[in-house]
Order: sequence, then structure tokens, then C-alpha cells
Amino acid sequence: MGTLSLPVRLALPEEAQAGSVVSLRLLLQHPMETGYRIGEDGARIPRHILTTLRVSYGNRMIANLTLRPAIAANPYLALSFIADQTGLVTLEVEDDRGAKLMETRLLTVVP
Amino acid sequence: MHPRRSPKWCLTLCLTLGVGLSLSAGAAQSGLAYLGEELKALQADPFANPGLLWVDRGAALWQASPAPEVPACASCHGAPESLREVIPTLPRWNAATQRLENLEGLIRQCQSERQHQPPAPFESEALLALTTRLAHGARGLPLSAAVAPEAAPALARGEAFFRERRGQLGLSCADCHERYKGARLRGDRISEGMINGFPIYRLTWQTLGSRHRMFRWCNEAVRAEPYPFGAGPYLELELFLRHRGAVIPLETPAVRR
Repeated sequence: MGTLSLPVRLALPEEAQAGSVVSLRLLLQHPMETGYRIGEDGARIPRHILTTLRVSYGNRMIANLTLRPAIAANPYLALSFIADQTGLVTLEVEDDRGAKLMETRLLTVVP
Repeated sequence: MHPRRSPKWCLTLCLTLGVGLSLSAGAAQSGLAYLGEELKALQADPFANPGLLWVDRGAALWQASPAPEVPACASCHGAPESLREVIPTLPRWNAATQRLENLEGLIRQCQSERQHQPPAPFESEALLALTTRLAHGARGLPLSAAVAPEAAPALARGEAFFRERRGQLGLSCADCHERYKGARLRGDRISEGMINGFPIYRLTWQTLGSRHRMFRWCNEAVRAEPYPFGAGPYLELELFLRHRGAVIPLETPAVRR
């Protein structure tokens, strides 16, 4: 249920054992243009980067990242956390031109 | 013959005598063989290979009708895999038009004639996504050596292009990709110039690029004037490279430096 033009590949297991480490993997299509480069017409290419990545699990925020220009295009991001309760994992990504992505997946924790 | 030679010894020989070396004697190899372990792993990763973003997008475009009352690609062709046998035979000779046609050309032709839409521009996200999705469906199939008899002159011109010195540097494709394959060019290892992984995700570009973009890039690198996308000389070169690389399996989307 992406809301606006941020193509993404998201990998998260649907089920995990209680207490196990789960990894969330993310591949986003984005130019990550630094704003420092000069184009073929001699003009500066305007900055266009992802700025925010937030991940919540259940009712807790488990990651809140401010992204900077020094990241290559089409960034791959991965983070891991301990599965302790069945709950929704929500991913929010924003860039500096208003594009947003919001994805929600259910993580079922089995004893 | 020496069954085992250390790469260092070979490189020394190469630099002192100007003799080419290959990673393994004789058999043609995909550019994959010239990558480091990290990039090999990235290409093989079914999640993190960045080219897969275009595969996803291409799959969506394949299903989508470009305008009301206009058939989607899938309406006529079914699954992209239905064309997998065709992909390794491209570019091929079209007897009706008496010209070579490659994958980009065929898609653009379909867009204008069957979908009555303006064809997607070369190197546009849409065209890259569709070509990547189609070639991805054919991965594992070997490039075909088949060349129609009518295309023999085009094949010969393609080989002539490959062997002709060009640009201010006066280098031919064959100089690097045959004579010095496997040698170092700055931090890079020179590959054999195979086309089995296209469109490729190239780290230098930070995006995907077609075979013709790579030809243009190479031409510019030797300081020659590049031809336009889809130009006759590039189609002939593409035909020759397909023929030359026959038996190497397709591996789209490949990751390259």
C-alpha cells in the first residue's frame, strides 16, 4: 500500500519465534542526488535525497533515521530486532520532495 | 600448456610482452567471472540485487494497459516468460523490413503499432523496466549463435566495427576485450565485453543501462563520437557480440562496476 512513487523491495519474515532476531531488509529505488554535482548543461543538479526512515513495531518506534546525501543511489538498508510480540511492523520513508512510502506488515510471534 | 599459472605471473607477462591473458584458457566467459566476490554475491542475491527494482516495475508495466481500450503487453503475450525463447536470439534479422531488430526496437514497435502510443524513449525507466523484465524471464538460456543468411553482411560489419580502431585513443573493442581481457585497468579488471547480462545495474551509473548505453559509454571512453541509441552500427555490433558470446547464459539483471 505504497502511497506515492517510491518503489521498494521489502523483506520481513511473516513468522518468528519469540526471542529470536528478525531482520528487516529494504531496497529503495531513489536517485539520492547529493546536490553537489554539476550536470552536462553546467548547472548544479538539485538535491534529491531520502530524508527519513522510521520503523515501528507494535507500539514502539524501533528505528528513526535521518538520511544524508552521502548514500549511494537505490539504497539498501537492513536492521534487526528481537521478536517478542505479535504486532504490526510499519515502515515510513520520506524524501525531500514530498514522496512518501508507508508499508505495514504483520509479524506473528510463535512461542 | 601450463595448467595453472598464477595471475600475478600472467599479469607481469602481459605487461612486459604485451601478451593478452585470459582467466581460463579459451572458453568465453561472462563479465561475472571478472567481478570481485562482493559484487558476485550482490548479483546472486534474490532480494538485494538492485536491478530487481526494475524487474518489479517491468512486471507491473507488463500488466498495465497504457490507455483506456488499449491492450496491455500481457493481453497479447501472456506471461513475460512466453517470450523467453526469443530473447537469446536478439538482435535478429527482420525479413519484412530488411533490418536488424533488438529487444528495445521490438518493444517500441509494439508500443506504436499495437498500442498506438508514442514509443518509450531509449533509456527511459519504462523501456529499461520492460527490457529487464523480459530478459530476466530468459535468464539461464544461452545466447544464440544463429544468424539468418541475409544477416551475414551485417554480422561481418559488426565484427569489423569490433576490430576497428576508433577515437582519439585509437583503441578497438578487441584491443581491450580480447587482447587485454583479464588485465587491470586502474582498479578494474577488463572483461570480455559480453552482452549476456544486459540491462546491467552499473555502479558507475548508479542505475540500469542498456547494451547501447554501454557501447556509447565505451566509445566515449576512447574519445570517439558515440552513435545514437538504436543506430545501425550498434545493432550490427550487438548482433556480432550475441554471436560471439553464444552459449553464455543470460543473467539479467547483472551487476557490474
